[in-house]
This record gives sequence, C-alpha cells and structure tokens, in this order.
Amino acid sequence: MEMVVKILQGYFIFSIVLMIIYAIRHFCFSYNRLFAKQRVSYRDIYDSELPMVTVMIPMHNEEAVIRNLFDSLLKCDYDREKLEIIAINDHSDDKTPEILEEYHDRYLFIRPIHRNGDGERGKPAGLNDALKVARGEVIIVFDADYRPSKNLIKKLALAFKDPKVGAIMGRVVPINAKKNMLTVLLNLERSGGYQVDQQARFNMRLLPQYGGTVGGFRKNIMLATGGFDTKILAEDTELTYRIYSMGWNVVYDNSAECYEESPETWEVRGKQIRRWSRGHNNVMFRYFFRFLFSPNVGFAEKVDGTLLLLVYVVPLILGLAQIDCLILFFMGKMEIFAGWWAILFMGIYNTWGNFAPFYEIGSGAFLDGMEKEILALPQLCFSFYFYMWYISLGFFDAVIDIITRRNVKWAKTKRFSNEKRVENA
Amino acid sequence: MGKISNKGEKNEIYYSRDYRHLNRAWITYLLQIIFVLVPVILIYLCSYSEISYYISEFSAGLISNITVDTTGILKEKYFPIFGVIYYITMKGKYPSFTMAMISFIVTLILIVVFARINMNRKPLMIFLTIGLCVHLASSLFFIFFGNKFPYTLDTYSILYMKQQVIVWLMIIVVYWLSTSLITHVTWYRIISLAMLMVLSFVYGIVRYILYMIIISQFSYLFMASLYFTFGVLFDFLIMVGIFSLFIYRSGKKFQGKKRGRVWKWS
Repeated sequence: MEMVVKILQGYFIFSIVLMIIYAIRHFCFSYNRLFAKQRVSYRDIYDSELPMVTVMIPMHNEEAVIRNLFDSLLKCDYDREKLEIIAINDHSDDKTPEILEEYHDRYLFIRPIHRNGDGERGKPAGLNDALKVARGEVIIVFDADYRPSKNLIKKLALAFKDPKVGAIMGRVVPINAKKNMLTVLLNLERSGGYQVDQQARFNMRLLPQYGGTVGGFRKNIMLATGGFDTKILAEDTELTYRIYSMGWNVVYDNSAECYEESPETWEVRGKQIRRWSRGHNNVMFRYFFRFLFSPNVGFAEKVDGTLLLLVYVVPLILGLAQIDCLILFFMGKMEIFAGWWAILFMGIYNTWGNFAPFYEIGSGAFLDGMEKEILALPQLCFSFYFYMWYISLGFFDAVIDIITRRNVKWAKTKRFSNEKRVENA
Repeated sequence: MGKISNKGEKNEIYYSRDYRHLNRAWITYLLQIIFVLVPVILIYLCSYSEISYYISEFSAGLISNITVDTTGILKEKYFPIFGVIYYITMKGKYPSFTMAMISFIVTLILIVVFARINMNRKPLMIFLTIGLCVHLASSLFFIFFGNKFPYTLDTYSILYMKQQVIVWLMIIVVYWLSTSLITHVTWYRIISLAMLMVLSFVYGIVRYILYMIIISQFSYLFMASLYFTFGVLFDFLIMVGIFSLFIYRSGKKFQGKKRGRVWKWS
C-alpha cells in the first residue's frame, strides 16, 4: 500500500512540475510579446520577381462558403500571371462541383480537381493530388470558409525569398467572434495563440507552427519527402516537424491576417478539437524522439518543440492528476499537499485549442484592443472539463491508430455561414 | 482598421495592432518585485496566523448562532518560521448505510439524466457531471469502507485552512506577475490586488462556514464533493475575474488619450 501511495504522490508532483514548466514558458512568451522588440516578417521587401504561387483549397460540400473565398481571392493584388488556384473537390455531393466549374469558366486560372470514386479521401490525399499538377513553386493553402485580405498572398509569398524558409504561417481571425459565448471564447483563444504565442516564438527564434491554412510551404520540400502522409489528420503539425527536422525554418507573419468562421456550437467544437488532438498526438508519437535527436534542430527549438508536441497530452495528465488527488484524499494522504494542488488549477484557466493560459490570452486581447470580450475570461474554467474530455478522447483515438495502424477518416468541420451573414460582413 | 461612419468614411484610424508593444525597463520590473511583491508576501506569511485566528473566531461565532453544535478553536504548527495556524473544531457525523445507498442511487440517476439532457455536451453540464461523479465516489466509499474514512471534521477543518493559506499566497504571486505584464502603474495594481484579496477572504470564510455546517449537519458524505467541486477552482475564478476587469480597464486607458505615448512599433 505504501508503494501505491508513493506512486500516486510521485504522479502528483510530476503534474505540478509540468504545470509550472508550462506556466513559466507561457509567461516568457507573454512578456516577450508585450515588451521585446518585435521581429517583423518580410513585408518590406519589394521584389519584381515574385514566385509562382499555387493556392490550394481542399473542400468537401462547401457550397455555403466557397463563393466568399473565391470572391476574396479575386480581389487579391498578386500578379495573375504568377497565380493559379486549384480547388480540390473531394467527393462533394452538393453544388460545390457546379460552382467550381462556373468559376473555372469565368477565370481560367481557377482550376478544379474533382476527386470522386473509391480513391482515398481527406485533406492530405487531396493536397497530394493537387501537388502533382501544381505549377507554383510556393503552395498556399486555405480552408474553404476563409476570407483572405487583399494583400495576404503577397505577404505570404515574399517570405520564400529567404532561402532558409520552408513554410510560413499567417494569422487567423474569427469573423463571427460576437455570435455567442463559444465564438467569443474562440476569438480570445485565437488572440492569445497568434498575437502572443506564435509571434513570441517567432521573436525568440523558437518554433512557430504552420497551421494548415493561411500559410504556405515550398512544393519541392513536400515532393522530395513523398508528399503528405494520408494517415495523419494534423498534416499541418506534421509538416512543421518535418520541415524543422530537415533544417528549414517556419516563419510567422502577424500582419498576414485571414478571416475564418469559428464553430458556433459546442458539439461541433468538440468534434473539431477531438480531431485536432488525435492528429497532433499521432504526430507526437511519430516525431517525439526523431525531433529530439535531430542534428538540424537547436537546443532551444528542441525544448520548445517538445513542449509543443505534448500540449494535447496535458489535459489528460491534468485529468488523471485530479483523479489521483481524489484517491489520495480518500486515503487520507492529501494533507502534505494541502494547497499545493492549487497549482494544478493554474492549468485550467487555459484555452486548449492552441494552449494559452489566462494571462497570455489577456495579453493578446490587450494588444488587439479588445474591450468587453475580455470579461468572458473567467468562463474558461468551465470549458476546461469540456476540453479535457474531448482532447483525452482524441489522445486515445491516436493510441488506437498507432496500435491498429488503421486508416484515419477525415471529418470536416460543419459550416455555419449563410447568405445573410455574408451581406452583413 | 477604424470606426466607419454612415457615409462609409473612417472617422477614426486605429493604430496597427500587428507588431505594437509596450516599453518596459527591466529594472522597474525587478524593483517592483523586490520592493512590492516580496514585502507583501512576507507581510502575508507573518500574518497568516492572525488571519486564520480571526477567520476561525468569526466563523465559530457565526456557526454557534446558526446551529446548536458547540465549536471551539484549535491551533497546529504550520510553516516553521511563521507560526501556527488556527482552525475550528466541531463534531462531525458519519452517514448511515441507508443514507449512503440513497445518495448513491440519486446521484447515479442524476448523472444519467444529465447525460441524457446534455446532448450538446455543454461545458457547464460536464462540470456538474464531474462534480456528481466525485459525489458518487464518496457514496461508494461510505457503502463499502465507511469505517475507514480517514477524516474527522477537525482534520478536514485544518486541511481546509492550510489549503487556503497556500491558495491566498499563490493568488498574490500569480496575480501580481500576471498584471505586471500589462502595466507598471504600481498603485493601480496594488488596489486591484487588495480588492481581490478582500473578495477572496470573504469567499473563503463564507465557504468555510458553509462546509462546516453542511458536513456537521448532513454527514461526511458531502466532504469530498465540496472539497473538489467548489474548492480551489472558484478561488481562481475570482482571481481571473478581477484580472479580466483589470485588463478591461487598462485596455480602455491605453486605447484612450495616452495611446500614442505607450505603444511602440519596434
């Protein structure tokens, strides 16, 4: 029995130490973003030789939103001679194929790829098909519900003038931020995650992350390494670690803003975060040691990258720590930890989509000039248990994926957009 | 960015948010820690003994007026240098087997009902369901191992008081460091910290009294769920609430007249 108590107490101490490490990490990020000199991306470069860019838009039943994206892309100021748009219709059974053909008839540089039949489904498989026919040396990816700003493609493409850059990430801003409490919280999450976390990691030369949309990468890197792995749901995280392991950099441009539609119901958010957790943890299992021992990655990058790989395990660790505390309580062994277990609750006031503690979100909201939205911050405590549940389920999905080597099935996030909102936007 | 008038013209252009940041001297930051945070921590540590005594005295007086139970105040050693900690002593009550069984069945039914009505998995419902699960575990414990329950109301009372001493210490440190990210206006942060501590003390005392009354009147069965469900999480809720108010007020100030002077663009 004594051994059991020692193990339980050891796990408890491990959880507390882990929480303190993350708390310090994100305090450093917040401090850096608020007070350090900011590392600006490549927006001040003026070059007549812009690279050939292929914009890829993977889509499955996107009739509600796709016109908005095309219309935004058509307003972009990138040289049309050096731009092509490949719309990847992945087994849609709504009016998406007709809309793509309609745009192709009007604009020849919009090229649809229709993926039907028994072929592999999902975003990575679709991107692989598009990579085979893309003419651009730089690939920029958007999800179908995104609305890029006018100069976004130019800002993203310019970074590839730097030969060390393997991928770039722009900033995602929710367009439906004031719809309900969930979208308010997601807006805060995005603010902490991009305005502070990504920018600070870029400032500190750590590990800014390619996010799968509103970002770009070099085509030749992907082709040389066999394209996207269709067994991984988080192809963005996988790409980030692949690029770093090969000695390239990922850069972040905080000014390259693109607007997205956030999930508007908790049910949809739950499914989305479970999928993210599954994909991220698959990458974690695959890259943990490979990244840690990569000769192309510096020490600080390794530390940051390892902590980043573990973020979707932390909610499960915290959940188990609370069960651990409950068992210790009934064994009468809580007294020596009286109060100190409060450190576990530091971790609860986080957003879990991109892991930002309350002070990091506060810093982001402050920099963004948000006002009343910030008052929703205390609501985070209740959403923790929601995230703990779905992220843990995603972790177990990933464990089963690894054990059974099963094929993953891509599930897209439900869209909420409608014509009325488009008119109002 | 900017406010757009009815004519579609921007009548106010906001500063770019992309790369703006604040100016901060390291020396000011360190001086604030040395001359404000450290003394506040020392004052707190030197006075937790008195704080716990006054809380216990007030709580014991109030409980005596509400219930017929007799209460007293005991003390125990805590941190070696900073002195003893005081707490209330009261007589607790074990639940009967029937009570534990009824509690188990009712809690189980509630969990099933919550799961049925909570098809959208709303966060608040998940939180309440987890609270019910803790109570379910407590009911099971008393059904099978009731005689091995390791606490009396006295041991629980001291556990609570020790927990609060550490929680309040942590709130001071975490709140001070968190607000230091936004502004170095010391008096503004001291006032908000004082406000936070008053609220946190009031909440801590009210909860202590309620816990002691509930457990003494309705048995140890409720001890675990009270400790885990309405415990430290809510102390932090108050802190994050005050922090969000602080950011809201600071944000308004920094977006106002002085904005051009506080923001830097590398």
